[in-house]
Amino acid sequence: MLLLGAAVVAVIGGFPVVAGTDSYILLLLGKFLCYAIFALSIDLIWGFTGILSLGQAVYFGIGAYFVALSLKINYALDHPTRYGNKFPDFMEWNGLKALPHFMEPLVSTPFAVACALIVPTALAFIFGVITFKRHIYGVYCAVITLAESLILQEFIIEYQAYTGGFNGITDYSNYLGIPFLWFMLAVTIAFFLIARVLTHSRIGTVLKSIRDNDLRAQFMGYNVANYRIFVFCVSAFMSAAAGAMYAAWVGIISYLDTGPVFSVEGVIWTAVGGRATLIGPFLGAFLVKGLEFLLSGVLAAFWQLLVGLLFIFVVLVMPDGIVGSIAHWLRRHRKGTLTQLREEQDLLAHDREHDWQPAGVPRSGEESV
Amino acid sequence: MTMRRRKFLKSSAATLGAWTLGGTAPYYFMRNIAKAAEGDTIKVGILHSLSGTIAIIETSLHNAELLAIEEINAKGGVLGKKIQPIVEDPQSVVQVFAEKAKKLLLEDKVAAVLGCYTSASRQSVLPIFEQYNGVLLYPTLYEAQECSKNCFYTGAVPNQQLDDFVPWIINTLKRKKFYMVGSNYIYPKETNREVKALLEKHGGQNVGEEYAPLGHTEFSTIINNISGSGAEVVFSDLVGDSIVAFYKQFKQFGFTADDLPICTPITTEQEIAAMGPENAEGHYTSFNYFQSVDSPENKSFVERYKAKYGKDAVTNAVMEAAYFQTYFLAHAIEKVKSTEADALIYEGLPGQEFQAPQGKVKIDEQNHHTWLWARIGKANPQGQFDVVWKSENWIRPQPWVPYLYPDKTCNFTDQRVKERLSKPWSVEKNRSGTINL
Repeated sequence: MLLLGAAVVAVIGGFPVVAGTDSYILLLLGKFLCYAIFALSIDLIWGFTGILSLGQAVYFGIGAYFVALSLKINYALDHPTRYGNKFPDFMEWNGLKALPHFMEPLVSTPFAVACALIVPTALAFIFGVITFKRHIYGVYCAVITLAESLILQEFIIEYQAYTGGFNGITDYSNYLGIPFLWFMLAVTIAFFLIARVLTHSRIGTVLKSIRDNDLRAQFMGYNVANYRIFVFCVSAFMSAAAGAMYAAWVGIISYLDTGPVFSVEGVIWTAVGGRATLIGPFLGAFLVKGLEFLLSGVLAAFWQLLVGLLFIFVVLVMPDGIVGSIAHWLRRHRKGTLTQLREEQDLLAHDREHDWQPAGVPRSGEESV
Repeated sequence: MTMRRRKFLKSSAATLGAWTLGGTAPYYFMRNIAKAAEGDTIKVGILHSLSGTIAIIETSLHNAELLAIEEINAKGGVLGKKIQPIVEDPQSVVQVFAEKAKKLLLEDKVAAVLGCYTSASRQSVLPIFEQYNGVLLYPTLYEAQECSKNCFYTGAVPNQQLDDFVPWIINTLKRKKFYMVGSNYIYPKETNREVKALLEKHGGQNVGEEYAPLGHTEFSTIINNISGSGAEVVFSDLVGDSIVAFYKQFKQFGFTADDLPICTPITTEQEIAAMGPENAEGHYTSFNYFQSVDSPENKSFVERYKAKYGKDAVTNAVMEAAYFQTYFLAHAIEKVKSTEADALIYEGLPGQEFQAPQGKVKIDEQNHHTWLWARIGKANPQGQFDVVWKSENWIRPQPWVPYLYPDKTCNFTDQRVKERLSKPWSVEKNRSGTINL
């Protein structure tokens, strides 16, 4: 496993050295790394803790907008816009005469990066306190996060003098290049390790037990709300970091990057790759996004149909996603002795009992115990 | 133990093998198609969304370009080679536009790209075209105030749509009080700035201005405000689905085109087909081209388009530009006998003329925009436009609107611009042809 991981890292890290920095695949690789972190952040809350958020893109988007705004303001200072002024062009066509005062601190990129990481995490904390402390979760949580995402989109479009609106923010100098790719790769590895340590620790076990049955976890004395808030903040932080790097890498950011469609895409990557696994989100993001890119060129007219069929196939045939199914399959084929088979049966029965069961509903047979 | 290990090895090898095959096979498949075509074709990128929110209109542009390529190839192609369209679907997402543009330029090494529809998508790909010195032909009418070395704009700029339209409303329709309704983004905002300047110049009056979010379909508040404002004419630059909703609700509210006409530079036959002709009847649109234009070129264009895409297909102004810009490109390559970008940009495309469905059109020698005809159409019960006014001559494009930016112009033949653009992108990032007078 370690070897495979090292090989993947070497391939991604070594690619631009071999292919040169002018390859469009380099652009894709960096984007996919950000998408993978985004999917990992969804996996932490959804796969491991059972919180389905349809607004994870809010944190990604806020992180991205802080960085993009800062880079755009700085770019406009050095390169007069098409109107010939020294502040972003979208402010000019919205009738502003100069950079608004409250945006002046964003001239400092380190400050903007700090905001990009801290603001979304703080927002996630506030959101967590409001919802989880009041025991709002499940479908209601998904709906609230969805609303959050729509509100942010409306805000961005409405206040276009400060955000670029529908056009988004584009035409600033981005960090596309080998050093930044390596930096993103390092961040990705770091987040992967953090997620691994977290999910394999005692906290991780509590999170999984909250996912499987939050009432039992509560009866055992765990403060379920606090655990939920904690993992939600970690997830928002990762998401925000992914957004910040994304804006610096791609050089374009728009309101779509904060929207529910993007959040749902993240959920799909996680589902395809395998939720509650750590490799799943990475595999899912690279596979689905890569496939999309390939197919939308070769079969421009009906690629969406194929991608749709893939999702249906995965959900029907491999409900645990690709990594989850491979793990199951390996486990089954590695067991030889009778005791091991029994163990396996127990595990499977356990899995069955807990898969896709809404929390709080008594399971069949449970009443008689 | 050994048994288990072997099984494990086998299964993991199989999985790995399947993954490698599954992952790389399409790539090689694609590469081979591309390679097979090298040498005996000229590759042209087509970059219009075939999925997502703006797919409806962009698919029609993509269709028009493919039709033109088919015609050019049937007549023997360019320089004795066939044009090979490389179609990409940017999915209505600006980032995907940028990454697909990069792919077309670097991987497919296309001679030029025909593409984009919204200003947002154009602005997202322009930095890429400027960095890698590509050629983009852009067919949409837009808000102007831009001129990039690497882009040729074949749609209308405001002076070709508004400069005659606004005085015509004031003097011929005898309606002075304008109420402006637009979608909330760059194109309507810039356009309305220009309309307001024109109103001031010609003695009109602006009695209200309102913006709805893109895709907005609930207009009762805005229509109420219009009704109480004393407006004599509604000037709309709503786009997309909002057009359909607005016209319908406007009629349901009880307004007729005789009481209060809607005048717009953007509603095409396409939207009228979507809303039903009874909702648009009597309202006015200013455009360079209508499907009803009476010219032999247009008759044959509409006929061929319907033959290829079905008898219910309608044509519109942006499509027409998409169609003739494909000919511009083919003739330019023929003229310079090369697909090299600088040859096309400095020699091939400027001055290129073509007998288009709307009449004779020409790329300006200096500013990369296109000489077009202006027309005003009144929507009829059949969902088509009756042309009620037509410009006497073709109109020169002015990428810097003179009454807003009197001190700026765009001229790529100017010595200062030439000198600046002769430096590579890595040294000089400003690739615009703008000069201060």
